[in-house]
Amino acid sequence: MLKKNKRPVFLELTRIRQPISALISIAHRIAGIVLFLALPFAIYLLDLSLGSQQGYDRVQAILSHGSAKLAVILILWALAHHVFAGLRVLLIDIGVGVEREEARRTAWVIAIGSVVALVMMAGIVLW
Amino acid sequence: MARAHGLRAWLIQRLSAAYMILYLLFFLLSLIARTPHGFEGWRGFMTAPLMSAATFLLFLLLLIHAWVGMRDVVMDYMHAFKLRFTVLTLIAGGLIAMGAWVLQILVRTA
Repeated sequence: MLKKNKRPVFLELTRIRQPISALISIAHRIAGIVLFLALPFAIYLLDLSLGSQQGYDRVQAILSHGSAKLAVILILWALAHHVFAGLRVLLIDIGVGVEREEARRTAWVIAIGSVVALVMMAGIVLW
Repeated sequence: MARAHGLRAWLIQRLSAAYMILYLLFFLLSLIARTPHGFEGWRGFMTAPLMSAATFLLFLLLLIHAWVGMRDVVMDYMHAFKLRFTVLTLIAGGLIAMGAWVLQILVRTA
């Protein structure tokens, strides 16, 4: 353990200007939690859809509800974001895009890609 | 299973992520190439031997990936021992139950 440190600790997250890579990282974590919470519902739908014709019809009925569509869009968005941000981490681990400027650029690509994905998901689900 | 910590947890997370990305690509391309229609089509699509095995491996790795990830989140924010222990136990129990559920679905439809 370090000796008693009298220096003030100033770590108010809301007052520190976070770089884009930090925001992407936080969003990656939030998306992961969302996906974990969505998992039992996804397995439930898979179970129903593969069980019987009635179950399959039931899934279609459930997914045609407005609120379910909204949930599906949000979950697919979380999935897209988590996969893109995860791919970025994998690339950084093998030495691609490690430098700060480049890492920030790829973080922006993911931020924009995530919005594009949201629009696409919404388009596919609502259409 | 061996405890997931340090370098091993890091490696598990990366390898499972790589597999899941490949599965996702394979799944989407198959959906586009041979779009299944109706219940029978969907069932046939998911129960083809290759797809069935790939899906089983997907869920196995997904649940391990979720464990490593959620464990990191809990360790970062929950410091009281009792709370941390309870939440981690609930998460582990939930993941094991989901694993059994998926296995049952895949075996039943195979």
